[in-house]
Amino acid sequence: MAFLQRKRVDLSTLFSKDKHSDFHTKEYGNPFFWIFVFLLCFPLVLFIVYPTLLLFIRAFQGDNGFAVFSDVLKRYRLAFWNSIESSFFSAFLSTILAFFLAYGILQLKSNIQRICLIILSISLVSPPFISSLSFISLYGRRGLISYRLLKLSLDPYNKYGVIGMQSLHFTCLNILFFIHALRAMDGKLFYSARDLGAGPLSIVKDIVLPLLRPAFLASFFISFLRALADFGTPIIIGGRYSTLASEIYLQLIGYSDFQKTAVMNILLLFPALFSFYFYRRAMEQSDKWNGEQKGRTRPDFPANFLIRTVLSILLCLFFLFECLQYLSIFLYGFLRFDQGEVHFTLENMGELFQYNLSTMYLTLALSVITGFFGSFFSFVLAYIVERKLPFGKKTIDFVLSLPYLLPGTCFGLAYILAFNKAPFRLTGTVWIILFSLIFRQMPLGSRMASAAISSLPKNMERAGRDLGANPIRVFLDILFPILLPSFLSSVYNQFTQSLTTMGAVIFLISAKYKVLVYTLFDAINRGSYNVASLISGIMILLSLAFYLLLEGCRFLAKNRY
Amino acid sequence: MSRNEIPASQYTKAIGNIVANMDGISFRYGKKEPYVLENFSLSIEEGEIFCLLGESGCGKTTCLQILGGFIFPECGKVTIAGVDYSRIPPEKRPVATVFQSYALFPHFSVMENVVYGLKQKGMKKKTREDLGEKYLSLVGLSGYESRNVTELSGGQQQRVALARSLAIEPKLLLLDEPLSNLDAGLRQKIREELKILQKKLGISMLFVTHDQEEAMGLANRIGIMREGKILQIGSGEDLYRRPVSDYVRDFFGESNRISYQGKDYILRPEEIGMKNEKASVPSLSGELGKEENEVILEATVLTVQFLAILKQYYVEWEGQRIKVKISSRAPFEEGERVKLFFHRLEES
Repeated sequence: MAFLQRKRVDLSTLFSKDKHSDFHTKEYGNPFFWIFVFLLCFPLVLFIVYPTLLLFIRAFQGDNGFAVFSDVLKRYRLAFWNSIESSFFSAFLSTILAFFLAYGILQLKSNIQRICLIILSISLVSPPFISSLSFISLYGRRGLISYRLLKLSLDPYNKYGVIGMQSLHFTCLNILFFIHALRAMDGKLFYSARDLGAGPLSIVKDIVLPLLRPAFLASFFISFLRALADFGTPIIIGGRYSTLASEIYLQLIGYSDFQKTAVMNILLLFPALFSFYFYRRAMEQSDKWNGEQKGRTRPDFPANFLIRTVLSILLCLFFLFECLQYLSIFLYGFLRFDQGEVHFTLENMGELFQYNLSTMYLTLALSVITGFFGSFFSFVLAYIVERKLPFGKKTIDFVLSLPYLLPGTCFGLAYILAFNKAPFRLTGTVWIILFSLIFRQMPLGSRMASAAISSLPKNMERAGRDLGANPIRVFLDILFPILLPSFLSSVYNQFTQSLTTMGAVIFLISAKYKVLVYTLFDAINRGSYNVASLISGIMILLSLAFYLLLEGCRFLAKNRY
Repeated sequence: MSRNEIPASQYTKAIGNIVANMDGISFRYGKKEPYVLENFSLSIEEGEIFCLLGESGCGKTTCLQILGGFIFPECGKVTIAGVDYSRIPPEKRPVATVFQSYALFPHFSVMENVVYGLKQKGMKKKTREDLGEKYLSLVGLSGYESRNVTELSGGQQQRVALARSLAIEPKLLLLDEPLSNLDAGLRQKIREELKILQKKLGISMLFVTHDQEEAMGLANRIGIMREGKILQIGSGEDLYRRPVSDYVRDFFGESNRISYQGKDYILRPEEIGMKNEKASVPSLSGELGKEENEVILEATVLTVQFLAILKQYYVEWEGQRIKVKISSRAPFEEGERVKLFFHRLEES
């Protein structure tokens, strides 16, 4: 078996060497091929490159372009430093915490591991400020635990609240990231280290940690990037502590000063670019080390009694916190507090119906369309780029990662600038929301698609062509069924992201078309935590329902093929 | 290989002493799984190269992992150099494993890899790097100290893994399919080098493989395994000429069954000679016997294949098809009458 796998690796390297010979097949003489490529690339230019360009043009427009810039620099210096400070600490804490927790989870039995993973994935389907909501409701000034149980009056509305909330929220994704990185390690390395006389602590120090360095860096920089762009948490829990992202939000919503916010966004873009660059470099390094392994065995992580005990305590605390958090979201929606007494109530449901629930249907529709259409587009594009295009891979890759590295506020503003006048007047319509969702999630989908497609042996397509299928048939009959599982995961990811993401969309909604996340954010800002709890509960349930639906699809498809 | 000498005193060279012993070992990968090894016993003598040979899934790698301490047996005893190591973790055992995929630490340089085990022993940096130098030159990799292991070729990685394991001066070196990741030419070369190195150091080695040529070429003794049991232990020649069962016989090549005068003879194609009026060509590897023991069969050539160093014939004798492999200088053509001759060595 190992032999066969090795053989396949050898063959694939063989064929990647003769890549150039593949680029002289007749597709390149076919004008329809190029029209197809143009049709694929045109939306990228229109919905990614063009808005980004306009953002820069707008920032430096007019005679006093640089005056605005220096004015912004002066006025928002503190917010800028706050951004850097809180993002740094959130990224740092969430990365360190995530490593320990991930290491602890991998020591657990597999069925307990699965439960942990399920709890963690709930965090992925809730917006970042949800932690803040439940934190306030549990530990805030009138919190369920701090005030009603312990009679304390805590004040979380400051810098530490922001850092704490962001750290805890990012930790969940980072744990999944570390679990993936740890599982990708070759167990033989630990075997041979033990064989050479190394004990558990030495192995962690000499082998696990150094090999995880790229994962640490990647996790740090991606969290840094997310923290920079997060404006929900500082607005909800920051009190007087504001970051550049939250200032941008307030400026844009309150004053609609496009030039000033454009400049502020560009200011935010610098650290974002910087951390994205380091994130990508770290990922490349990690691929290089993992690519070297042949005949891997499942890693068996070294631990002794002390390590296990410390990690177990940490895990218990963390998961207790997480469970309380999600429990509180559900319970808070159905509880009422009267003079220290707690009642079960459906009143909040009534209040919820006073909000415009049509946003729920609209959001659901938008998310489903984004999920399927965005994923399909990503897969077709990735296929063309990975397999068919003789050039331009790097450029398309860069363009595709733009929406990811641009903070949400940036992307939203860019869309306003690009689509508020002819010839592409879209503001106020539902289309601008849809396009922003699709293209904002595109990087995620296209990464998954590229990974899935590049791991397929090329000869399978060749065999298909050989047996008389045309390229489109090869894609539909051979590749698509094989890629279906990764396609469905991509659909699910894009769906939940569209459902919960707030960054760009919140600037693009209009009186007529609102999204659920906005209703939620609005409810929290008005102080109706009960309603907010119900809405976030609905979001989690919607994600779950969609997940089950897709699992059903996968099951049916599996039985068919 | 360099000619740097290692004092022979480091490895006491007294063939015949048992260096490692597995006694009554049983192992399975779970309470409901079948036993991979059941009541398994094996002794490795000091200074020998022992090979466990078998198809994949026969339990040979499990056996290696039990000796290495990566898995603990359900019952039975593992002794190394006279000490009971049955329940001792790998880091405390005086054995070292060269893994099939080498398991080199990708973030370490060549030198850092080689001296890692010495570092665990608490050796000073200077001392361990001197030793590292010595073992690197022993495997012919002097000058590669600061290279990154991921930059090395497969053969070089193999040597680094070997040097790394040798550096801790184990009582027993375990090798898991040591040559299977190399291409054919290199495999032969490293096989020779391993043999020379083993002679020089006098170290005991246990390696597992599914390649019978590798086993014959490298090992002093071979144990052929099937379904968790050793069927036969012996030198390559023992197993080839005096197999105890059909399975062992077929592992080392093909055989013909010939019924002649009420007796069954099992003969390998290369143990049969051919002659007629044109020429007389002796068998390639049949044993010589007395004239009166010779059996002669009158047969007709059905097909001939020229295979460079030998010719492969199918001949027909009394309705039985017999395969014969013989020197490629044999002049017999299709349809010719020939006499097959061999000595009565084995009867069943």
